[in-house]
Amino acid sequence: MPTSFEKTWQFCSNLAYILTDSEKHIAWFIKASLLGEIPYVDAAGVSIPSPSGLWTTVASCDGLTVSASDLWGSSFDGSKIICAGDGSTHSWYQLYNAGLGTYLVIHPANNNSFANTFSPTLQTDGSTTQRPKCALSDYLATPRYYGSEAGKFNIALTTEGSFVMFWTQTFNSLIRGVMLCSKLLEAYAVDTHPVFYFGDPSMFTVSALTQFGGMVQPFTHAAAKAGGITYHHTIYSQNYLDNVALDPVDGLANDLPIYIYASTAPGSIRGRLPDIHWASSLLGTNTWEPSVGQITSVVLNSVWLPAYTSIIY
Amino acid sequence: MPTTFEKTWQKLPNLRMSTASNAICHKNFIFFLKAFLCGQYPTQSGWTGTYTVVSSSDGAAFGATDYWAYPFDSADIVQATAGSNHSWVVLSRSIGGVTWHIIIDCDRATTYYFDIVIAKTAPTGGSLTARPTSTDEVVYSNQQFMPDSSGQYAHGALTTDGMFLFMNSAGGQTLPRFGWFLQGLAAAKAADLYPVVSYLAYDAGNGPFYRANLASATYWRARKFDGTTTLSIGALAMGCSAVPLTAGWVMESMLVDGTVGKFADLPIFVAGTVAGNYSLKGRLYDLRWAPVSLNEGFVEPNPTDGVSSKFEAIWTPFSTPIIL
Repeated sequence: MPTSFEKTWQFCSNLAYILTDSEKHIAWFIKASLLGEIPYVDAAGVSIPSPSGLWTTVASCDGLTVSASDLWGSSFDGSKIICAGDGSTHSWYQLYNAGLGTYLVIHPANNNSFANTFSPTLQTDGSTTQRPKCALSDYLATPRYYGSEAGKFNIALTTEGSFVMFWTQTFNSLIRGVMLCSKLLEAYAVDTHPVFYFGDPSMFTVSALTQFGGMVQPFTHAAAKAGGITYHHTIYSQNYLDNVALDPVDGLANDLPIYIYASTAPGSIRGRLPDIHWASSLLGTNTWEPSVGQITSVVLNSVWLPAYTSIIY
Repeated sequence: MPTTFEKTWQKLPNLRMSTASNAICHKNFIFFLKAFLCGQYPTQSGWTGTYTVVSSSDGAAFGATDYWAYPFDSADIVQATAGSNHSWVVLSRSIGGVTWHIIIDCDRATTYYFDIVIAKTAPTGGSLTARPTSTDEVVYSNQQFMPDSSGQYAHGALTTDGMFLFMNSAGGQTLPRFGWFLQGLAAAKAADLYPVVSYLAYDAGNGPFYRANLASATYWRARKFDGTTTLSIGALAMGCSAVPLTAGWVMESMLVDGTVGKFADLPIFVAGTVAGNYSLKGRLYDLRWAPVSLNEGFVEPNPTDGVSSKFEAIWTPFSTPIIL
């Protein structure tokens, strides 16, 4: 487990979403958490009145109107969030983070999935029946939700705007959707957009991270979408870590950094995720460390994530 | 390739060994290891991070004196089995604030074999017929290096804080055959009182830095974190302990890095490999996993004035072409 962090993390944890409006509420939580509309605490659990690294509103749609303002509101109102795919009337929300140079469009689509898109450039031409899109390559994250199911929403946000968020499903104690947007460490100086995106309908498993992959943009941003989608593999597997739960040196769990590379020829080592490490499968999900005192990390499937409290499903 | 290094490397590549005879060539190489670490070659003037001679034997006398004094004198390197008069030398150097010791022991009758010993606790004893010993030593016993003579070259690189890498090549070949590096590790745990590892291999067919060699505990030496026992370790292949490191290894499929047009590299982590001692020992400084299919000795970014050169699975800090 990481015993200290390279970044400063801020947390919103274990926020229950409304049972009858779970998909809408998750969509709102994504937007509200990135805008700082729900309360954050620091790694010690102390309230942060003014979180850093927040994202800003670019445009939004409530199914009736498209505006450069926040049409979803700073309090959850399910009537503002219409869930449907492109071609039908639906809501969407575009956010921007200047520190990362990244745009995110939240699109609560149908079939219990989101169709969220990350991009390094503004996504345009949104309407009441179509989410905004961009000419350059973007990345479609499709974290899932499961209809009207109880669960909890969680986000960890760095003071520079990187985040990892996930939501749970109570009845089967599973994570049901994850999204990650992280500025990479050890990136090349010429890489103009060293940001890794990841979104998955299930969990932080090795197979999800390596097979479904996330993406970073072509480093120059010059490639068009048709040729520029660059899927990724996370190149460290956690297989070694499966040998042991705790390191005999210090009694703490082992961890390994996660490096990201572009697998589309000619390939590129793009950098390393800060503070998110591979975890041993011998440790059950929701194992946290240290075992006494203030929590710093929690195992979710195959990775250690920054945390300040245990995760409640 | 690493475009910058974490450590400052001082290098002495392509040093021709004696061609007088096979035996003298081998003695010359043994002497080179000692003289290089002690910074005794004229071209090493001004180097830092060098080792000091604690004690030595030339088979005729022993004590707290450098009986292997520069320049090379083959008579100082007496090779014979333990129990008979033979040469040995104890070197020491602080790495990470702790003094470490290296013993080169010429206790083998075959002239291209020797023993290498690494210890934290100062070795004691020693005589004309036996090297000093330490309570926490790790040993490469009956270790082979290159049997060739004519055209043999030695290559050394030393950081300003005492870490080193050696290679040995035959001349006219495609691979180095002997390699040895010793490092204090990055990202070592504070509770690890022995955060120094050694890797030493002779492999005439695949080269010392062959992937499977690097992943095998056979070639590594380290001590458990509390020093109580030796520790079986290996280099993590992308976090996977399986060997051989072939299919699915990212460095197989990647040559030119699409971002910078340079060749790819990845850090190398070292970890315990047996039950009860599974531990992430730490990360090697500057030595990186390299694309396997690159030519041996490939230098980047410029063939005559580079930063790194590649040998089998790793990038080394040699910046000029190595005579293989």
